[in-house]
Amino acid sequence: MHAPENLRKRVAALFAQDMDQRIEDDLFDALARDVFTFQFESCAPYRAFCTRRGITPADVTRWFEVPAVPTAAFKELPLVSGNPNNAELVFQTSGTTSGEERRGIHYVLDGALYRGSLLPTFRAFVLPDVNSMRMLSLVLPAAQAPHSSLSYMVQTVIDTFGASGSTYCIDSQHGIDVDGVLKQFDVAIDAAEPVCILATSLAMVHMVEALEQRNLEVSLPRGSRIMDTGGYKGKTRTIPAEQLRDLYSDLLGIPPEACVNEYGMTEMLSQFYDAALRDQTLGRERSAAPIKRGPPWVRSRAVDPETLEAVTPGEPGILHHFDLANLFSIASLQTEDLGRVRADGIELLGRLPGAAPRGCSIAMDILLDRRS
Amino acid sequence: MSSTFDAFHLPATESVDYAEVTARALTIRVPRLTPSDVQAIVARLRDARTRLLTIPLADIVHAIDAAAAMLTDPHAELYAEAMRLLPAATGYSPQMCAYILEHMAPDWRKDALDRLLIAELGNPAVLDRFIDDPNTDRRITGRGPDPCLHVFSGNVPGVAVTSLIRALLVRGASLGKTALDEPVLPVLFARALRSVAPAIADTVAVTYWASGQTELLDAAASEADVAVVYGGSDAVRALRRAAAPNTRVVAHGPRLSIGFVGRGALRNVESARKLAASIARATATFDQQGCVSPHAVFVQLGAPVEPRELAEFITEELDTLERTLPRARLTPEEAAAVRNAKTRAEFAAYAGAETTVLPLEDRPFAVIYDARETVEPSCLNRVLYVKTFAEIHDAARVLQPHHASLQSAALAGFGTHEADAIARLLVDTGITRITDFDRLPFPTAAWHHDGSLPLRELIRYADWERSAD
Repeated sequence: MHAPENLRKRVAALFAQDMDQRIEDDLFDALARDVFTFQFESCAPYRAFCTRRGITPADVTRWFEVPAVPTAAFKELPLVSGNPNNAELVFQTSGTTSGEERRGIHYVLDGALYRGSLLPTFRAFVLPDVNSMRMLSLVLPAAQAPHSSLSYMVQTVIDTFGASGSTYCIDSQHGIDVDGVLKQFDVAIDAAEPVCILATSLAMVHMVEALEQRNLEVSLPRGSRIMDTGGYKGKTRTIPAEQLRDLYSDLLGIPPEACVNEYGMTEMLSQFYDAALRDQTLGRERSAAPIKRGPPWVRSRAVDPETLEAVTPGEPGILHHFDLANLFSIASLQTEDLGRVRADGIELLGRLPGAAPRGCSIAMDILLDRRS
Repeated sequence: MSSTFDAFHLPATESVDYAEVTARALTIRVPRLTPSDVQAIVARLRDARTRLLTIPLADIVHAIDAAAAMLTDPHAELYAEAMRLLPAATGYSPQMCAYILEHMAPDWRKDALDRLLIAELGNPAVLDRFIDDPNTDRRITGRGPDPCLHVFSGNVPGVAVTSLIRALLVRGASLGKTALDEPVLPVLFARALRSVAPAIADTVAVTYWASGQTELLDAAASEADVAVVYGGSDAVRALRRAAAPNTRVVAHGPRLSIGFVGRGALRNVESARKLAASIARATATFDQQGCVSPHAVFVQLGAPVEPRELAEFITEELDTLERTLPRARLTPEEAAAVRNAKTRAEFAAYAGAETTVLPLEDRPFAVIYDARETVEPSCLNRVLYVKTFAEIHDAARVLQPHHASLQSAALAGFGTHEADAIARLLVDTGITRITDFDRLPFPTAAWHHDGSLPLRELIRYADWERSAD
């Protein structure tokens, strides 16, 4: 077996590099080959999967030749390059709307790799202009959702970048504390300090509806922003993304470019974010289409849903990601997310119906239903 | 090459505003309707239906027969149009479209229609006048719906035509709402009918609207005596919500069909291979989208040919069929569902379950050998589960959780007595049709569709109680 400690160091070293610095193909592919070799040797089901397809580490030159495991596989068995009993963190997908299907589980052996990947990426895309900000979370605290990768991420972000006064306005018993949120808004406005709201899109829909019901409009201090995530095509409320952004602007005074939508999944330790805020902050020209970007240690391509052959660059397909941060599980992941991979990032087109919604949107929906 | 298809057949409406909608490779044009347009259409259908009440049943049957001939005669212009439009709309291969039409068409012809009328009504004159009810001392007559609302699904081309024909046979007027996946055949049928019998065709209205336009469904369902719906749970629920309290709702919701293979068919490789060909054809037909399509085949253990071997034979036969009856090109959603099913079975095997995904390479079909004691609905598009059983009670128990969705069961390789016991057990479990694999995809015209009588459930019967003199 390859010495994972050395490989781990080489991967972790990438986290310190500039978010805009592309890793040279040769280096990325060399890392991808070594990660694949390690995973092939240490994850028996993955080895069986690759062997069935006639691919061993010796057959691979480029990262995209590494067999990609469909995320549905995480529902069947532990896919971990090591001993799942040694997992530092155990994350579960949130299940489907019907709640009948089995959940996927991601055993995270090394939480430092998760933190190491998520923090610089969050900083680059959500806080490109400041070192810290008062955070207001509508995502459950990790203590109340120990298997939610989103809760863990939010807690890590608040611990690292949250200015004093950062708080959670939700709990698993009572759902979103709308009054608490409004009080936090007042505090922020009085102090003239911007606030960063961390939420699922579904929670934001709930918040926006509560404001509408109370006929309230607030104007949060300049620099305030929202990081929202996940499908909010929940069971009862559906608001198109653009309309939601208009509502954020009208009801909260947060301009569209300050709404940073995150795209992530339980099975993958790195995330993608809307690039608009970062590009604007750095004085770059913004893309015409809404583009998401991830850190340089992730590579993505779009493939034909049936043949899994690469589509022409810029054409829609389902996304295949290679995330080096997934060193101790599976790095090469086949998603059911439709998108175009362009030179400047990913244009996310949707999630195929039937694909399990991730994040905690559904759990959240149940929570909100219980409350109403 | 793809032109716009006018996907409606409506009694003259004032509407001049049209919308274009594209589904897969076909763009259709339909009028933009309002609820009051729907009411106006229904009013015209009712007028036409008054005239239909005076047309002899034999003339109606003759007109249906003539229209069906135009639609299914390979030399007819309308047939050519159907063959051009159907693959674009449905995604089915041209070969599949021709195959389906070829096997559905006989049900729409005079012989089958006459047989259906007799089989269900006994004396079809009950639709004309009061007749003596043989088992009671009353007299009875029946009338068709005025109108019948049909909410069609897109999975099996032809079912919509059958549904319209059933309503015509009981002298009912029809408002058919097509599915975006198959807006073609019912419209072509209505046009054919118009060319042979305009007065009869006036009782048939067909168009498309999006399922989100609930105000149109509300308007149509509140006017309908009977509403027949084909489709998934959402479509059925939507119709039930929209229907008036006294509207009779006939729901053909999501169904599951299953096969059972006994040791008798597994005595040697030859008979097993022959059976595998039948199973493969039943699976490939409609690309498994039909309510009659098998999701799983339960194969008995302990015969010279093992279930796993039969699974391999079915795989080979599916491969052969791919040449003559190719599968549809899948939508990304369908492709993802197939990959999901295959992935989960493959990784279940790595977790120690007795599952195998056949064949080894990615092909437009798959057989999932799965010896676990549960059965789940297939993702469809030629993904068949092969399950094992020792005694039939074991298989029936596994099916129990799906009892409300069960429909057809195909049997092979059981002796007469054994088959009889199995059939009774399966009916107890929820099955409504016992057949063999060759007949599985195409039930006879007079079948008890989902356990009911398709003509009778459209009829409003009237009793005349005679004084005891």
